[in-house]
Amino acid sequence: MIKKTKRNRMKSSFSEKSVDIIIYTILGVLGVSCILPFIHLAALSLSTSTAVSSGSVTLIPIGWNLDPYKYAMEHPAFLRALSISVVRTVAGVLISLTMLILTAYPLSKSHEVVPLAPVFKGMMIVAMLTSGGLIPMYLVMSWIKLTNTFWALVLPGCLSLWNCFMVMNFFRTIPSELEEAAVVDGANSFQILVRIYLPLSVPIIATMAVFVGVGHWNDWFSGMLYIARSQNYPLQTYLQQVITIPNFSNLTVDEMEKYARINNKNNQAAQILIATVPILLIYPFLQRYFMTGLTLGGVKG
Amino acid sequence: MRTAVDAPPARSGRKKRLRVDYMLCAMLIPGFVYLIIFEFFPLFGLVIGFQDFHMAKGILGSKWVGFENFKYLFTMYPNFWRIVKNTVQIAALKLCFGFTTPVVVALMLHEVRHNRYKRTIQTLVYIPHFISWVILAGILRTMLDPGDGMVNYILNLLGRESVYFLGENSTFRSVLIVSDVWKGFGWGTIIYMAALTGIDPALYEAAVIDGAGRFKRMWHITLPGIMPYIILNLILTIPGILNAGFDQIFNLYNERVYRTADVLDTFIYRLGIVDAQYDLSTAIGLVKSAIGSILLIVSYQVANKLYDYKVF
Repeated sequence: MIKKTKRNRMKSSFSEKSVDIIIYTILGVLGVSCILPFIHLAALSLSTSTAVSSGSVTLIPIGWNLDPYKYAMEHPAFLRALSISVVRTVAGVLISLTMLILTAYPLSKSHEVVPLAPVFKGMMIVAMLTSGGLIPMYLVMSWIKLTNTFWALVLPGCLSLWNCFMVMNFFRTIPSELEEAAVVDGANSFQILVRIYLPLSVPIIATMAVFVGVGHWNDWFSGMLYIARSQNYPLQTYLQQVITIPNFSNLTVDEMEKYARINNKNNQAAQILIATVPILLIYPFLQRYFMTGLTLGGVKG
Repeated sequence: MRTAVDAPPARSGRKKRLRVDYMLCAMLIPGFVYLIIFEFFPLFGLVIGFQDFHMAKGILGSKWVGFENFKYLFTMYPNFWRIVKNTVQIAALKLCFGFTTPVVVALMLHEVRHNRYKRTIQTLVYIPHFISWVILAGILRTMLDPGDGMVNYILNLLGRESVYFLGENSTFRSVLIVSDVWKGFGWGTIIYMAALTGIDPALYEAAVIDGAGRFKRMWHITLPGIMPYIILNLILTIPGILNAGFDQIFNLYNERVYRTADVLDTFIYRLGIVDAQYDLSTAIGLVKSAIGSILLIVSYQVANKLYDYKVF
C-alpha cells in the first residue's frame, strides 16, 4: 500500500516537471510572438534598402541605415499627420472626460434631485442598442457641416455611453456623508463635484483617459470617412493610405511618383514604428490602469 | 457575479424631502445634445433605406419605395448571400478560436508558479490589443509579401515555394483568423485571470491531500471556478456574429479575395461610400443592426437570468 503511493508520487512529480516545461515553453513562445513583429519592423527600418528588397532581413538589421527616420522627420505630410494625431488625441481626451463626468455625475444622484435622469438613462440604453449605421451617420455629419473639419475627428463618440454607466456606478460608491458636510459648508453641486468627487475618482478617470486616448490615437476610419483632403488626415489614416496598395489606374502621374517614393519598404517600416512608439511608451501606465478599470466598473464577484 | 452598475443611488440615512437641483440638471445638457445629434439623428436617417434616395433631393424630397431596396438586395443583388455567408463563417471561426484560446492560455498561466515569469508573459501578450489594425495590417503585408516578405524568405530557405498569402482565396481566411486570435487572446485572458485569483487555495490543498493530480485539480477546481465567466463571455459574444472585423479585413483584403473575404461591413462601406448607393447601403446596415440589437437584447436577458448579470 505504502509502496504503491510512493511510486505514484514519484511518477507524478516526474510528469509534473515535464508538464511544467511544456507549459512554460508554450507560454514563452506565445509571449515572444507578441513582440517579434515589432522587432522585425525595427530591423527592416534600420536595414539598407538593398537588404530589405532582397527579403533577407528577419530580426536583426542588415547594414545600418537611418535614412528612413530622417525621411520621416523631414517629410511634411508625415509630420502634419503626426501633429494632427497628437492634437486630436489631447483634445479628444479632454472633451470626452468633460462629457463623461458632467453626464455621469447627475445620473448618479437620486431621481428626486434630477427628475429627468430616468428618461436620460432610457435614451442612453436605446442609443446603446441601436445604431444608424454608416451612411446616416455620414449624412448627419455633412448636414451639420462637420465633415472636412478637425471636429469630425473629435466629436462623434465623444460621450462613451458604456463608460458613462461605469463612472456613474463609481460615483455612487463614494460615501454621501462627504457631500453632506460640503452642503453644510454652503458648496453647490458643481463645487462638490470638483472638490470632492473628482479627487476621489482619479483611478477610474485615469483609466478612461488612457482608453479614450488610445482609441483616438488608433482611429483611422473617421479620418478616411469624414476628411476629404489627404493633407488633413490623422496619422493612422495617412498610414492606412500608405500601406494599402493604391489602385494605380486612378492616380495621376504626380500621385504615382509620390506613392512610389513613400511605398519604399524602409520608409513604411520606420513610419509604422513611429506610430507605434507612443502606445508602447504609455503601455506601463495602461497596464496599471486597465486592471483597475476592470475591477472598478466591471465584473464584481 | 453581479455587476453593480445599477446599484441604488447613495442616500443619507435621514429621510428628508429632496429638492430638484437645477445645476445638476444643467450638467446633463451637453450629454443630451450629444445623444440627439450623434445618436438619434442617424436613427432618423435610417428612413433613406426605404427611399429611392438622391443626395440633391434630400430626405424630404426623395421618393418613398417601401421595401423595394430590401427586395432588390435579397433577391436580385449578385453576391449578396455569398457576403452574408462569408460574414457568418468568418465571425464564427474567429469566435471558435478567439474564444477558446484565452481560456487555455489562462489555465496555463495559472499553472505557472514563478511570478516574475507569469507577469512578463502577461505583459507581453496584452500588447497586440492596443495596436491598431492599420499598423498590424502594415506589418502583416510586409511579412507576408510574396516578393520580399520574411515568411516567404523562410519558406524559400526550407525549399518551399513562395505563397501569396493575402492574394489567394485558400489562404486569406487563415491569415484573418490567426491574426485575429493573436491580437486578442492575451486581452481575453484578463477576465479569467481576475476570476482565478478568487479561487480559494484551500480547495487545492484539500485536493492534493486527496491525491488529485494536476489535471484532476485543473478539471475539478480551476475550470469550474471560471466556468461562469466562460459561459457569460460566450453569451455576450454571440451578438457579434455579424461583425466579422471591418478594420482588419478592410486593411488586408483586395479584389482577388472578395470571393471569400468580402463581409457585410466592407460591402456596406463600398456600396455606400465608393459607389454612392446610399439607400441600398443604409438598407443593409439597417437589417444588420436590427439583427444585432435583437441578439444583444436576448443575450443580455439570458445572461441576466443565468448569472444576474446587469449592465444598465
